[in-house]
Amino acid sequence: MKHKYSIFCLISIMIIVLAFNVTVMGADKTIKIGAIQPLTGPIAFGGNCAMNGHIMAVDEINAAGGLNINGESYEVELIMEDDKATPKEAAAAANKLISRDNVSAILGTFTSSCSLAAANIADRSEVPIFSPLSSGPVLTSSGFEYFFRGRVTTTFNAPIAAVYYDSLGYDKFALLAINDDWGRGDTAIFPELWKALGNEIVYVSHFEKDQTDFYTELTKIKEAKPDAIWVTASTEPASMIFRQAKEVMPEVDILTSGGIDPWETMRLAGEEAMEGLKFWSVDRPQIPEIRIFKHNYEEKFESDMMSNSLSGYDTALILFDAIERANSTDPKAIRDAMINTNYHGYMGHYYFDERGESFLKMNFGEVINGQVFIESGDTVSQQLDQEKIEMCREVQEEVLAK
Amino acid sequence: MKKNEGIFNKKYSKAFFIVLLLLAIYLFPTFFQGGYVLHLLIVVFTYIIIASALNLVVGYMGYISFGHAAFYGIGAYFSSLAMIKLGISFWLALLLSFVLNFIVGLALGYFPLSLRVKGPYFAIVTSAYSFIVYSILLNLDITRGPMGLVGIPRPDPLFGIDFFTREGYYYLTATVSIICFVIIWRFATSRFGRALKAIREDEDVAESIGIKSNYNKIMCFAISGAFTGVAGSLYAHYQTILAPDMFKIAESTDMILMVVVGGMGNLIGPILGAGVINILPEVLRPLAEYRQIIYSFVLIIVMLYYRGGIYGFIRKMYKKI
Amino acid sequence: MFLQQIINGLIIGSSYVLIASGLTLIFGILDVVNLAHGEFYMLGGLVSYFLFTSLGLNFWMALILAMIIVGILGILVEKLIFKKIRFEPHLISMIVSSGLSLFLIGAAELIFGARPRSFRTGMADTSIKVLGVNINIQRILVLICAAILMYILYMIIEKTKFGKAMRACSQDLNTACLMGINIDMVFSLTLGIGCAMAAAAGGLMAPIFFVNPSMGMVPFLKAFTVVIMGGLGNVYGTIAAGLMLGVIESLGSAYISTAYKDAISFVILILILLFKPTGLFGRG
Repeated sequence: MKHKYSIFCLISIMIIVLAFNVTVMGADKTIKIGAIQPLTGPIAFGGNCAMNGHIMAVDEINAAGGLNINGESYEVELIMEDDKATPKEAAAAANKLISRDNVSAILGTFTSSCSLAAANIADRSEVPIFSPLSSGPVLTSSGFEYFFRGRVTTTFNAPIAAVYYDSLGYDKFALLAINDDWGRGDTAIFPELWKALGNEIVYVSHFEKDQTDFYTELTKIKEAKPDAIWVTASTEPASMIFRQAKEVMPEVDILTSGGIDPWETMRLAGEEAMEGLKFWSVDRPQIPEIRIFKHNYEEKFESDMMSNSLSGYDTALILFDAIERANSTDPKAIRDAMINTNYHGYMGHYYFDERGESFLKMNFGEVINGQVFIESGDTVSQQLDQEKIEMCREVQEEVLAK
Repeated sequence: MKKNEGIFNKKYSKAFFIVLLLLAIYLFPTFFQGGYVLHLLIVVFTYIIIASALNLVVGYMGYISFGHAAFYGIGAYFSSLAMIKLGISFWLALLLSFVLNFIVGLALGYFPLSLRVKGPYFAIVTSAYSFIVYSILLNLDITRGPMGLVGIPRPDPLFGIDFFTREGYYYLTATVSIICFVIIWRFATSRFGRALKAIREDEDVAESIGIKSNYNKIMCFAISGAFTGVAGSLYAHYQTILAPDMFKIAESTDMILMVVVGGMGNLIGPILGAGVINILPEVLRPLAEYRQIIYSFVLIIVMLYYRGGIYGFIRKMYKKI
Repeated sequence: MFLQQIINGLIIGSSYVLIASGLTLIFGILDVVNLAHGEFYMLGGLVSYFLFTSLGLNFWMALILAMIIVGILGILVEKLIFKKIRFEPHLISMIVSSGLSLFLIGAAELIFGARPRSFRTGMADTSIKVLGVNINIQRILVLICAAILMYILYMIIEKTKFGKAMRACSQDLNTACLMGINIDMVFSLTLGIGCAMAAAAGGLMAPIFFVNPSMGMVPFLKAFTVVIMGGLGNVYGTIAAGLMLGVIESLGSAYISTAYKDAISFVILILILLFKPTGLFGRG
């Protein structure tokens, strides 16, 4: 009896799977674009935000008649894959999109190691891959010709941030960074810049990815008596660090390096823990256009959004712009058109170098009385001592050359 | 039907079947030009080595090892770094990877096995090994830790086959996999394999009939680790990129799943397990967010009703037909 | 700072004890290695959170209700799943519970969503200073509740008839059967109690961190380590090992290295097992 029951279960599952595998016939002319994001797993919310951004862009373009390639209207078909934030899955997803679905380009993914795995495959197959969220330096220093990114690395904007925070009067810095290429990048560069500006570095340490308890590190930092703590962490660990730091040493200011979504972090950490936080961010001042986008997004997806959604939206439209400029569905032509991108999106002004590196500006924000205020990076940097910024750039180049 | 008349009972039919299988494996890329499917096959062949090797420890010897991700990671990083920094040839790197992981296996297995650390205790000790190796890979300078290794080289062309193409590397992986499988098969069906089974049943009784249990256990663990290391190297050179988070404990769990769900203690089971555990998630892709639930549900059902795994299931089916 | 680190360690250790106690109880009596235990911790956190935020129950009511709900789930799991593999080798229960773990995480993601949520009770953000040491209120509560729950568990095991039945089953199952003990009931209820303990840990820890479907994975590994260190099946060993591990981790990361913090605990574990292959207080 049990035997038959289990066979029945397995067979019905097979049938369900086959049913899902049947593809619906598309319109006359379609261009297939692949998209890979972590849609399940711990960082699924961020991944889904980016994917939703893509979906919004695709729906808009299709509603307006699709892409104009060689005088004909092409409907955009977005093929979405989940990489579960695991490099192995990202590689399989990239393989599937390229070999089975014959996509002309891929949007993805989120974490640097997943983007690395996917980019590796896309690059070999000469299909452009455009990541809306990955900021790891390794992606543009590995010689990929077909990789582009829509998020900027620490490197480009670091001198401005260093000079800005120095100008606020801090003299002794402690650094707490996540143990990955982003965190390691920060702890390689920022101490050197601050030392060059005449400050003291009293503590540097890294924490592991799934860590939730920072009391040990914070206790040690307290002993070192800094003026400010530079935290390189993404939204979740950062919110824990802020809460715990507020308990251990409420009098020390916290500065954070571009990994958090300030509103999401506030939701997780609470207003008291965020009070007085100064952050460096890709998020932009909340101009009316962004508010309108937010409203439309929330209506369409019945969910909150993050800046990932804006990046997702921007990167999709940048890709479509490149496709139209290339006037072709051929991946190579699209890639060549991508290099010449000059696009103003929600997240800023996008352009690339041959390595696919982006040069978005980052902005400076602060949390006051439970409200998030963001000032444009351009405005801030104009008020800073330009010589100091130059000097920092030189120091940075020396550090990177090692 | 008389026993001698069954199809598989004729002497030459077994050989015929093997030749057919080999032909299918090697001719596959010529007839089927799918990059995605080749990718999956390369992954499956790599894991066939690992699952078969792990089966020696789990299925034959009866010890639960969650530590094979450690060998996998050591093999992957070692051969990559050896080729990049020392410039040695791929084949030498592969061989050295085997030797290194064998030695590591001896070292890691010596104390727990000789002290009769068993069952869940052994599982946690080996998990600890996986974790410690992961920590080391993450924090050492030479592995570049979280920055990852890129540009791992492929072997130079041999017999006119270009290993930089996916087809070329497929032939390579399939061949190495078959060779490893045959060697493991020989071990498993030899006195050594029988000694392991005796140890699994009752270690004290095995000792009393003259089986040196410590020697056999440590050897088994080391050999198993060595082959897993080779698989790691194979995979690293396929991917050409490495990052430490490919070698966490979850990887070890997948490996155990392959062995047990495929069917332990026999040689076909691990092959089926390697196939199913790697291909099922891909097949289930269209199910999007329901993927994990369906996958885990299948796993639970198979395990609840078929202790012998998928191999057990097929045997039951075959008997019924 | 030394005292602060010790206190930190004891507090973290007490949360490990709470999760680990259920795990070791389940092993001691059902002989099952429950790799899904972390998911019951997670469900405890998730259910508490929802009862607290959506139904507006007060924290303690939400916690107790969550414990009951997850406990009942544990009983169901025993009857539907573990009963079918009773008396099978450990490996089988490991694989099945592994599958169950994936299933529960997937289900939680589908039902509750993957987005982390913050469980604001107000207690997690205030701390008091005692003898120059900072102590967070919620964390002290974890310590106190863990102590209370462990005491209740002790009372159940040592002083009630059911506890006697549990002890009988863990000592000699055959004889227990012969004596007329209802094995099915003991097994189901034990899994229920074990899961309820894990749920308690989840509900207590949730306000300190946050709530999401993957929150059980790291605590589970720690709990498993503690259980092995203390000796499978030995609840008192678990208490000792749990507190020890918490303190070792705290001191290790403070004075040796934060990068290798988890690795240090594992090294200690390996050393302990080399000297006592069945754990500090384990049976032979």
